[in-house]
Amino acid sequence: MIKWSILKNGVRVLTEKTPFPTSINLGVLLDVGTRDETPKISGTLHALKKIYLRTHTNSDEQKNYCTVQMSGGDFSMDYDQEKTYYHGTCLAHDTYDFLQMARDCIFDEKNEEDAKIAHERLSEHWKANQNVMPDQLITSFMLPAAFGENGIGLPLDGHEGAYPSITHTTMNEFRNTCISPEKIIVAAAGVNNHEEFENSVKPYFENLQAPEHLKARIPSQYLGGEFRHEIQSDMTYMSLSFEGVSWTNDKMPAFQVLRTAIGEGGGFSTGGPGKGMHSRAYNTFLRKYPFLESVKCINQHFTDTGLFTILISGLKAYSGHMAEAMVKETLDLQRMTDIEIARAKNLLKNQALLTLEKTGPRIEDTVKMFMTFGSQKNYIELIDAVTPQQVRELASKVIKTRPSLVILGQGTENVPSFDKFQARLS
Amino acid sequence: MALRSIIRRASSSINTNYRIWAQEKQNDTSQFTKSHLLNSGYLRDGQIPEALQYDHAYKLTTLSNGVRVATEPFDNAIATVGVMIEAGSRNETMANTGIAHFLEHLHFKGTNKRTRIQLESEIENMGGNLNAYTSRETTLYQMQVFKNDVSRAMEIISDMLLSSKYDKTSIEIEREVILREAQEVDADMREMILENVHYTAYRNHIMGQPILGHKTSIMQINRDQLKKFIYTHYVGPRIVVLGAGPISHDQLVDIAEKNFGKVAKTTEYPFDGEDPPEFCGSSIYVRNDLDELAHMGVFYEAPSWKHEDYWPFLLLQRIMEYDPNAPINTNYPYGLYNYMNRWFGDMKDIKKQECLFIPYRDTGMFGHYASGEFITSLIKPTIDRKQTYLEELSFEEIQRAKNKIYTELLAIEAGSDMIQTLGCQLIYMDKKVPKTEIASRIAAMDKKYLEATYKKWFSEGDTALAIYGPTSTIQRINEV
Repeated sequence: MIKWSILKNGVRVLTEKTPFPTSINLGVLLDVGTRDETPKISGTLHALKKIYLRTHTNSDEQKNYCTVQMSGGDFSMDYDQEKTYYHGTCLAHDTYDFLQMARDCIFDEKNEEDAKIAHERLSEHWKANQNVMPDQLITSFMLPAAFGENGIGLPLDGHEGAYPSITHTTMNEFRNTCISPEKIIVAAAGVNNHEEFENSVKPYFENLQAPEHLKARIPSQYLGGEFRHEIQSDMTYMSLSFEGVSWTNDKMPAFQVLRTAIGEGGGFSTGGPGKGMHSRAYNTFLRKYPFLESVKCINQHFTDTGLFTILISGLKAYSGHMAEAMVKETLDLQRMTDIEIARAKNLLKNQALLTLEKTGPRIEDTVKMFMTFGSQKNYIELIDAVTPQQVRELASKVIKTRPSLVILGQGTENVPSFDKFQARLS
Repeated sequence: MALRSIIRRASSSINTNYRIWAQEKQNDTSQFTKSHLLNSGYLRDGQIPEALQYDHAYKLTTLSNGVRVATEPFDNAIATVGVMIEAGSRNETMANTGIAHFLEHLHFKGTNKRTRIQLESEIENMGGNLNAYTSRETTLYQMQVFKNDVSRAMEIISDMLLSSKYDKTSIEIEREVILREAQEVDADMREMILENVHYTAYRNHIMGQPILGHKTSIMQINRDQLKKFIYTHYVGPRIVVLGAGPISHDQLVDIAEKNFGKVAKTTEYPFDGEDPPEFCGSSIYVRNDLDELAHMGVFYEAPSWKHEDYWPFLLLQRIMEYDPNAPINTNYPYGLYNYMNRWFGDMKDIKKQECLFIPYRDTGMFGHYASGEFITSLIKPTIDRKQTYLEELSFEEIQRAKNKIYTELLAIEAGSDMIQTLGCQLIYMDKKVPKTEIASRIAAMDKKYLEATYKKWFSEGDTALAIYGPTSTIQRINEV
């Protein structure tokens, strides 16, 4: 049961009374992400994450860490292109301490010492990530290839080598210009009484003021195009993306169904039934083309756009054949059968419902929906309403739009040009 | 043993009564109060968090052939059903190691009623999710389905378990798959160390053999052996049918009766591996000078599931355990309130440390897995540490570990977690142990009790040691 209210400065407070007593699952969602950075300050959120427990007003990093440890629960910070989420779990009697900590972690001014420590930890991060696996590397090229190196196309981790230019001033300015009370939701699940939680939140969040100059989010613009990169590998990695839709778009559920119908697969074991072993990834891609090593369909939604991607990897000697397989199977998406679509819908519903069984992921889902839609949507009903016709129409429409192509590995010269790709698909 | 009589038995005042949650706390306005806490901010000894005073209703029925049916009903869109069998790799012999796990694979490969493709598509089409796990002592098959598909899901699981074909082609295909899987397990250093610890600790028992089996015996497993393993171990009293979520108990009993009612109550063959294993102090090391990191497992004998000291060991494990999210690094203030972790953290060569408590039916092991660059020089200190550890055991560390268990208990929310917990409790403890009871047992433990338990198990006793890597100082291990 969800209840929500608005504090007088605009901060929203949301609670879920869980069907069964549980820990307090607390979350503070900020409507800010890496797309609000600029190429110059790209990596600011990554730096902030590295020192997310460093506070100064009421406590310090050590005290916060002890608060979390002694509570028996956890507290962490996550961010993506559009949202930043501070969240934790604790027993009911630690709720005030966690609220205080969350507020201080988000709003305490960072100082030079903080920046120094952030740099040390970022340097360790980049040292540890020197050998990024090509399958991870290619996913980091997909968004820049589609949207350019700005906004949504900015890397989640920032650029290696660019972090020394992020100072405490950068971090403070970013927070001061991007966060206002209307962009904050404080949420908790496991709460019996909404008013009690609201009253507990007030001392920490009600006196926040809106900044004088709130930076408006720049609308995204899909560009499309191609990106080829030679790396030392026995394999070729190839991704083909099209502009998708926003979270609020009517076609969002159909995109999700299409993604599930393609699914993902690779490795020698297909896993048990229920993980998409009869999806197109296994039934067509991997079965028809023995040179393919893995297949994955990725579907990303943002507030004003989205990206729909098919990602394949295979032996480098077959890179030309891989391109052919990609084109053929992408065209074949228009002939998705009713059975495949019904199966994908059930699979998607099962996966969604399993995620929602746990309180933590459920409150995260609810609070993100409130930020995006302003209300709670019944995702299951949205999936149910998708018809096979809609999915096929969506597929035939989307593959005729301007693609973006990323090719990584060796043998990339055997892959046809972008124009040829586009000509084959339209 | 004389020590034991003077220990205050923590179980003497355990409240095993729990309340069934019925939305009674509708308008509670003091959920976040700290008024019940000690001045230091912690719960008093014996006191449990409010949320743990409740549990789901629970029902158990035993069928005439000994099959137990247990449900924990609650409102949910997804139902979880499962079958846990009290048989695993410990019930194998040296001639057929790996057969329990082999069976798990073949159960997905078609029955007299359904071909493999039919089985897979039926489950995928209905939006079901089927998983199976084989361990040393149990095997679990579970399915998560929409609430109207409960009886169909149970029928599919029983069809797999009781009427699988075990045809020759599938056996050959799966043999290859399992051999590849075994290679992957070997490549996972943590898994490999744990298997080697078992091998060395249970030298004279099948418990010491790997779950996946030996290559030679995997190569030889045939249809007759597979069928015999089923006839021997899949008997009524060793089968538990489990349900959690939107399931009526009576309905599940009916379905279980229909599907598992004809399973035999006893077997003509004797069970293998039922004799209690002896924990043997010994070591095994695998030298690989090409590897950069060394890995070690240092383990001691510990209580079994059925031993009364099982409960304090749950707490001891949390007291020593490593925070998996915290990299061992002096830049982070992560050592505080966890002396064991800080001690490992101060050793610059250590990259990973983990404390594990692995209980079985009639034995158990407790110890550490660690990896790092010059690990051999750490073995002796780690073993010595066992003796001095308690000197630093503080009130705060105990409180932290208690709170950790409370939040872990509250996080058992998904149907799959619930049936796994319930299945193990029924098999090892012959009853459901409500969260309230576990929390009360934990809450009642004080420093004195933990100290006495720790001394009882660790003041003497053998060490099982497994090491892998560039063990250039191998002489020193022998001295240990």
